[in-house]
Amino acid sequence: MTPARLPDDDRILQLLADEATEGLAPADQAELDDYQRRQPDLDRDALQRAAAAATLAFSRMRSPLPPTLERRLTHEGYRAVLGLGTGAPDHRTPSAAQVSRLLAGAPDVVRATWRAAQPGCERVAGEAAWSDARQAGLLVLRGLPANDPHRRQYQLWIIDQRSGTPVDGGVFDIPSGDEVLIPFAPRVPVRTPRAFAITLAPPGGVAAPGGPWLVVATLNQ
Amino acid sequence: MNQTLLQRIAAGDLAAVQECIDRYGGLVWSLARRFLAGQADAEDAVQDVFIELWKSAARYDPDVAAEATFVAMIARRRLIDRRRRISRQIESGPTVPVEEIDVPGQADQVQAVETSDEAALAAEALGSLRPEQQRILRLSVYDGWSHQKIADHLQMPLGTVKTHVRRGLIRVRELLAQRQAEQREAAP
Repeated sequence: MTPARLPDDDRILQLLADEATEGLAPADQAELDDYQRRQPDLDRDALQRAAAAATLAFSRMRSPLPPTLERRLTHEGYRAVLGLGTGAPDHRTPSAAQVSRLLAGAPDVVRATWRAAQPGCERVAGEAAWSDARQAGLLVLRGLPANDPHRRQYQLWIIDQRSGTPVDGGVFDIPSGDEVLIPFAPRVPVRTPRAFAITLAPPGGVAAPGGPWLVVATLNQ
Repeated sequence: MNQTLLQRIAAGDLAAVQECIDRYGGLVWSLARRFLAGQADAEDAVQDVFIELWKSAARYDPDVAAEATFVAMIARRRLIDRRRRISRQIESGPTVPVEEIDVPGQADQVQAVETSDEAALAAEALGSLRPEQQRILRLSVYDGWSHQKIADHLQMPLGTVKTHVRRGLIRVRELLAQRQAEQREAAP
């Protein structure tokens, strides 16, 4: 794309610079809008991109996101990609088509529903979705009690079809007991899982399951 | 050509969501903390920025801007809008003493190269400005100070501050456009 020329008019350039750095008052906004109507090839974003690039050049240190905020962002991001909307939480479950889209259109997505394997987990609902082609999947979980990440974390296990060996699917947290969407991609290749299971583990997880399955999702092969 | 994170998100690749947050979360959060006074407000603003990113991922065009630049642009727009809505915070936001503000040096350029080629070009453009111009541009685009606040702090006419900001941005834009043109000519 050929970048449009900037105007020669200092007043317009100043408005573009002001818009890029501190925003415009309504009257100035109207003036710039009117100019753009008369000059539709104006690259209105040109100085905003310059300001953004300068911002990156000045950025020396970046503070890590607060963990609670990161969880919120991740959850909102998953919901947005799934087409479930963002903002207020709701309990719609992604459709098969949405899960397929989520897994980048992989044609081999399989799904299974969670069922309780321990007393106290009867209210857990949701499903696990998996694509062999992508070596990635998605957990949709509702009703799993919130955990204290400093004491215990939930750990996903993927039961390999051939060996029956549980493969570590990673640890995750349930912040509030609400619905969570958790994508996962095991570090070890998995071929056609037989089931998924969740345990409670020490923070960071364990190499082999040390506690009972809390819930299990068995795939129909 | 490999897809960018935003292109992957637009294609429905969920794994790209976390990668995007990992790559740009710190940048957006740091900007929000500089632009806004309260932690809660900054958190809400960061969430707004990322929701906007998820929604606009399909509109991202790598031929127009590097992904990091696009993310920073969306973030800046949202933060500027939010700050204007709560204008009482403009002059009471977090401040950095002018004496502690560095002009872009080698360390900044290394960071910029790690971020994107465009950031490196911007650093090059900034390096061609006079130290005073660099300082003013930094206070404006990075620290999020209003032009009036910069003028008051540096005891400088408001018009002079605006001129420095305008010329600095135009210089950065010229270098970016020039490099884009060179890349197009070099493309097969």
